[in-house]
Formats: sequence, C-alpha cells, structure tokens
Amino acid sequence: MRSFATALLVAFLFTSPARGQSLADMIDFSGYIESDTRMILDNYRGLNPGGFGDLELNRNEVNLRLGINPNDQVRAVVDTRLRYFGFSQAEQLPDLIERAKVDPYSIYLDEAYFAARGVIFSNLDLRIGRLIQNWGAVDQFNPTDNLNSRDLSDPLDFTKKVPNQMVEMSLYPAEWIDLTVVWVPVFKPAQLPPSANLAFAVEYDQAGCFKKAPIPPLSRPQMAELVDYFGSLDPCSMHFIDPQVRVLDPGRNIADSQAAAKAKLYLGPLDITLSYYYGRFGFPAAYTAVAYATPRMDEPGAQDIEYIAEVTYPRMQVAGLDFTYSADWLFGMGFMGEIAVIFPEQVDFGLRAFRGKALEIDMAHTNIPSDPFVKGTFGMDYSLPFGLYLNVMYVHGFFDEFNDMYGLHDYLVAATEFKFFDDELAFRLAGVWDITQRETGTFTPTVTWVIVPSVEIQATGIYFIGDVDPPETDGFSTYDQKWRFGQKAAGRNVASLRGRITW
Amino acid sequence: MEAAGSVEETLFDLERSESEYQQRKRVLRKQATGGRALLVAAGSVEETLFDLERSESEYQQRKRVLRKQATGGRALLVAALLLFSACNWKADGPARLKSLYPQEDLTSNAEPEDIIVPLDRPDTPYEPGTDIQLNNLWGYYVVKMSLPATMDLFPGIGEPYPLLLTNLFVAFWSDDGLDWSYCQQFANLDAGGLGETEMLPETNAALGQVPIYLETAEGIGIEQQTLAWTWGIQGMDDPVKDPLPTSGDDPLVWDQDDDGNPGVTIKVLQPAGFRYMVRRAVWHLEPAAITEDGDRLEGKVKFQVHEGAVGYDGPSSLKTIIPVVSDPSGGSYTMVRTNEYYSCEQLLAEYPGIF
Repeated sequence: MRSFATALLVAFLFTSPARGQSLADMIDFSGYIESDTRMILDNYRGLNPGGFGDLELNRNEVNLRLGINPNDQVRAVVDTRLRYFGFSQAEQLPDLIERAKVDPYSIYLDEAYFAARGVIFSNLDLRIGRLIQNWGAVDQFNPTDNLNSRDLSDPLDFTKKVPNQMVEMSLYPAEWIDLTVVWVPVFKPAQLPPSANLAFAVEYDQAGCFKKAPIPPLSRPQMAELVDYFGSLDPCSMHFIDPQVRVLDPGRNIADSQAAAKAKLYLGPLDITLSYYYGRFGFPAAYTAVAYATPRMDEPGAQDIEYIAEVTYPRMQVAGLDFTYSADWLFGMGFMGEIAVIFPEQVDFGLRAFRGKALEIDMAHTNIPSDPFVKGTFGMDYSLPFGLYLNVMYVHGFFDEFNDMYGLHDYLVAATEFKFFDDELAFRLAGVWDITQRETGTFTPTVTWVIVPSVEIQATGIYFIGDVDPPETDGFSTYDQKWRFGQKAAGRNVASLRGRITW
Repeated sequence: MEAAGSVEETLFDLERSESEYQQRKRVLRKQATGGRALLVAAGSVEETLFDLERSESEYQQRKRVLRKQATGGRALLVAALLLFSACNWKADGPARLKSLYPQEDLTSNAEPEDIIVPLDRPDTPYEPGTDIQLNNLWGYYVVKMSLPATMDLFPGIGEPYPLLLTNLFVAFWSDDGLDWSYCQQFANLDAGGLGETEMLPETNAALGQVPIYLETAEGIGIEQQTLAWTWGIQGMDDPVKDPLPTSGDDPLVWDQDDDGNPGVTIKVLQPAGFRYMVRRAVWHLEPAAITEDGDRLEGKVKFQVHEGAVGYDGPSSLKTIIPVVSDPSGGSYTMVRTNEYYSCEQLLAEYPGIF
C-alpha cells in the first residue's frame, strides 16, 4: 500500500495533468555559484590616503534561474541571486547576536515574469513581470537601451542592470520584421558603485583642515567667484556637518512612466532596429546645492557648514537606430553601430550659500540644455581561427554621460582575447581610453582557466589611469575638467580572484 | 519628410513661375491697352490674355492644393518634432532653491534688518555649552514655521506647482509648558494666481484662540514629538490619525469662526468664492537647537496637511481640494525671543526682520 502511494506521488509530481508532460520536460534550471575576493592595489583613490592590501570584496554569490513551461504557449522565469558579502557589519555587542550583521547578505530577484505566446493573434507575444531588457546592437555601450537602469554596484561588471516591473508586447507580422512595445509603470534609477559617494565628498587634509568640496556645474566666471569666496575663509575653521545629497523622487504619476517601442528589420546579413523611448535618464544630474555657515559657539572664529545637494533624473525622449552587419565577403567580420538622438529635459542648477541669515551666494547655470544631442557607438569584432578574438568600438558618450556641464566624451573601447588548449585557458586584455581628455582610461587584464568543464578560475582586476585631482586653470578646476577615470568616484584599483561553477 | 520636401520644392517652383507669369501678364496687358488703337493686333492679344487669366485661375487652385499639401507635410514634420522636443520639460533648480530656502527675501529687503525687539529674558538665561534647564528658556517668543510643499493642480500634466506655507505664531513658555498661538498663515503658491487663498481676519482670530501645546523636557528643550493642529474640527479621538469629516453634518465639524458655516471659512481668490473647510496639519517636530544665548531656537519639522471641503459659496470647483504634498526634506521652525507685549499685529508688521 505504501509503495503504491509513493508511486502515485511520483506519478503526480513528474506528470503534467494537462498533457502528460513530465516535470523534467517542463522545467529548465540553470545558475552558478561564484566566489570573488578583491584586494585594493592603491593608496590614493579612497576618501583618505591608504588602503593598499585591504580586501575590498569577499563575496559569495549563488544564482538560480528557473524556467517553467507548462505548455507550448506559456513560460515563466524566476532568476534570483543570493549574495553574501563576507564582511561582518557588527559594530556593537548586540549586533553579534544578529546573523544578518555578522554575515550580511542580499537577495536579488533579477527576473520574475511570465510569457505567453499567440495572445489574441498567433503572432503576438506578451511578457509581464519583473524583467531586464537589452536593446541595441553593440556591446555594453548602448545609448538606445534605456528601459532598465544600470546596476554598477560591481565596478568589474558593467553588464548588470536594475530589473523593473514591465509589460512587453511583441508582434511578428512578417519574417523580416519584429515589433515590440514596452510599458514600465515606475522608473527605477541606476544603482551606483560604492565609490560614487566620493563624487560628493568633502575632503580634509591631515591637519583636519578643509581641502576640497565637490565641484558644482557652474561656468568658469562663477567658479572664480566661488573660489574667491571660499578662499576668504580659513580652511581650518570650516566644519562640514554631515553633507547630504538628496535624490529627488521622480514621481509615480502615470506621466512619469516609461514607454518604448522598436521595430527590428532583418535584411539578410543586415539587421536594423528603429526605436523610441520616453522616460528618464537613469543616472542622477546635479540639480541644487545649498550651504549654511553658522558660527560655532564653542570655538570662536570657527563655523559649522551644513551642505545639502540635490540630484534629479532628467526626463528624456530617445529616437534610436542600431544595426549589425555580418560581412561574409570580408573574412566574416561583424560590424555594429548604434546611434541615439536624445531630447532631454533642461536642468538648471542652482547654488546658494548663507552665512547666518544672510544670503551671500546665489548662482544659477544651465547644467543640461534642452537641445537635442547624439550618443553613438560603432564597432567591429572578429574571431581569427587560431583563437584570437578582437573587439574595437568607438563610443561617443559613456553610459552615464548626458550632455551636462561635463559634456560628452569620445572613447576607444577595445578588447582582445587569446584562447589556448581548446579554450581551457584564455588571456583577455580590455581597456577604455578617453579620446577627449587623452590622459585617462582603464585597463582590465583577465586570465581565465577552465579547470574542469563548467568550473573556472579567473584572475582579473581593474586599473584606472589618470590623476585623481582635475587639472587647474588659474588656480581652480571646473566641472568639465574632472578626469573621467582618474577621479576617485570611478573606484579603486583592485585585483580579483574568482572561482565559478556554472550549470 | 521626403514627401513634404518634394511638395515644398514643387511649390517653390510654382511660385517662381508665378512671378514669371505675372511679369508676362503685365507685358501683355500693356500690349492690349496700347493695341486697342490697332484693333487687329489687339484681338489676338486679348485672346492670349483671356487664356492666360483662365490658366491663372487653375494655377491658383493648384497652388491652394499644393499649399495645403505642404501645410499637411509641415504639420506632420512639426508634429514629429513636437513629439520629441515640445514637452517644455525643465527642472528649475534656482526656483526650487528660492522656494525651499526663501531667506533671499530677507536679504533683499533691507529695511527689516534693523528691527530690535526689547527682550524679556528669564532670571537665569541659558548659557551656551551648559545643560538645558527649562527655566532658562522661559519667556515670550514669536515663531515662524516654513513648510515647503507642492500642489498638483493638473494631475498628469506637467510638474506640480511649488507651494510655501508660512505659519506665524506668538508663544509663551513658562513652568506651565510651551504654547503657540496662531497669528497668520501665508500660502505662496507659484501657479500664476490659480488656487490662491486668503485668510479672513475672523478665521485668523478664531484659530488664534486655540493654543497649540508643545511637549518640553529638561535637558532637551522642545522634545521630538508629533502633533496635530486642526481647523474646524473638535472631538476627535486621535487627531493625528482619525479620518477627516467629509460632510458639514458630521458632529466632528466645528464652526470654529462662528460665521454660521461649517468648519472654517477660507477666501479663495481664483476661482473666486469661499470654501468652508476642515483641515489638519500633522507636524513631526525635531528638537530645536538653541543659539544666541537661548534667544533663538531652530528645529526641523516634517509634516502632512490634510484638508477637506465641507461646503462652499461660489463655483462648484471650490469643493475640490488639491492635496498638499509636503517636500520630503521637510521644513523648519524658528522661535525668537521677544517680550510680554509683543503682539500678532506687531509680528505681522515686523516678521521679515525678526527671523
């Protein structure tokens, strides 16, 4: 009797009542486990000097991706990550009784959606839920890809995105064209790397005297006035109290939704996509700043300075075009390009400084003009038969650039990879060079060894080229002079050792 | 775009040929006038002129059609451009700063700078750096509370309009505690006059008769606290959380200004009329920092405003209440020491120079 019940249970679990399909047929399961330890390789890119040899990351991550296909028309996907950070956050004795403090972790739900094929019409598909969209044709630098903001929490991984709730409809009217429409009810901003805080940090020298404050997006004459004003103050008498950078909520009105549409054309070796996006830029733009200086009662001559800045997410519309072309006639080289015309919201930056009740500085400057501007990426990749892969791209406008006072820079992005021993060993060199500023870039060497099938060990790292302090003209710097990759906000130079199993 | 371009080109050609045609017509007409004396010659010229005028009529008709097409093409082009660029989106940081930190008005207005109010100090005034004793803070004060907010007059269309609520009170702090008595509220809504209101003297006087009690404590001064300041309501079990009455018949509604209408009466300037309303401001007050020897206290306040119309006199749109959305960063309150004789009237005349 017992064995009969067990057999029944097994039959129930592994058999779909609808079609007699086994559970194994209905489910696909993939994922990885990754361990990543990183060490800081510099002494000069943190808020304070030092740090070489410190472990920056000690992370263990489990990814589980489950796909369920109850029938041919329906698919559900759940993609999760469990991330343990490996550094205790216990600061007080009571923290030691909390596991989350002793061993902090985060749970990520990267995707959770269902898809239905042949809705109403046989050639109409629908996807609803938490999704990540990847639009565009080029590698990573996609100005037409705006539905999901970037997840830059890991400086060594530019590819991650912040998932969002959305509704997607895809229509396939003919073999040579696909149409897609997406609605994202609520905007979600990009997740910034931990080093982003340094973009707004106030720095002090070893004597505890004020050294520098964030450079606001003002014109050179305005900056000269500002420098004159602060130059008249004793740097050792200024005490900044908990500088704050507030993020303005983009709102939840229906008008604050994002929407996008694209038409992809398959024209033989050439694929072309035309797209349109309505929404906001995923990275914050400087909006306001106010400083209050009040005399300290306990220290004659000294003053407390309260500094509050605000950032906003400018609205935008984007008209995009991208293409990929496989040139069989030219050794099979692949060419790809992407161009976006962006119609932005104008953002006027305001700055005020008060001493006591008196307004001493009141400045305004357009940080982002309303003029349309262009971002684009063009590139090629090529695989040689003896294991060499080459990818070169020209990028106009990094993914966090938005024609603000910093402007749009041009970049050369290149990666080359050599593979040996049936791809078991790979050397990869990748880098980004800022053509506009010329003296700044990044360099990322990587060695990957597949020790047994599905298991790899990887040694990698990132090195930032460029001075941390912007060049000065007439004794001060302006917003556009910050070194793209040299500035501290870009991150630390690190080396990483990873192990990963994928299934 | 291409179609619009080709129509434009044709129209341009046509207009150029029209100019040539007019020139030829002038020559022929001249010939006709001169040729009337020479009848034979004139006949053929008139004929040509007739043909030319008929073709002019056809030409004009064609021109109208083409112009229409061109206009249509232009309209498409303009519509496409509008789609992208005519949203008139603008995030105005300087205006926001002006609204959030309106002290600019104080500095720009030179005359109130010199107002000196005789101060009634307690026997043992507060000494900076020492522990706060409540009796060090006793005395008379004036209070200004600045509450930045927005009102979305046209939901879904454009940005909400910035609103700055400024409340003025006179205050008395003694061993019985601290109470604030309302003097005036200014609601500066930056919406071109739309939605502007005015406080009636009777309403102000009625509101001023109900003091607001604040919790104080030794060592802190003004405690962190949440309190509700209600207008036109009495008898709520929990003034912070209970729902507002929605009808004038609700027993909670109180004709506080005693004008025979439910709630309190507010004059609305645009659309013009009177709104009978109930209102609750919930304040989450932070402890105040004490400066200037205990003569000035400053603190932060987060707030919500809940309003309801329980009647109106004027257009029915007066019944519609646009929610006040408080700024997430909150507002501030400032208490400045004065003296026993300092009145609301004096405060209204001098407040820009005091705070």
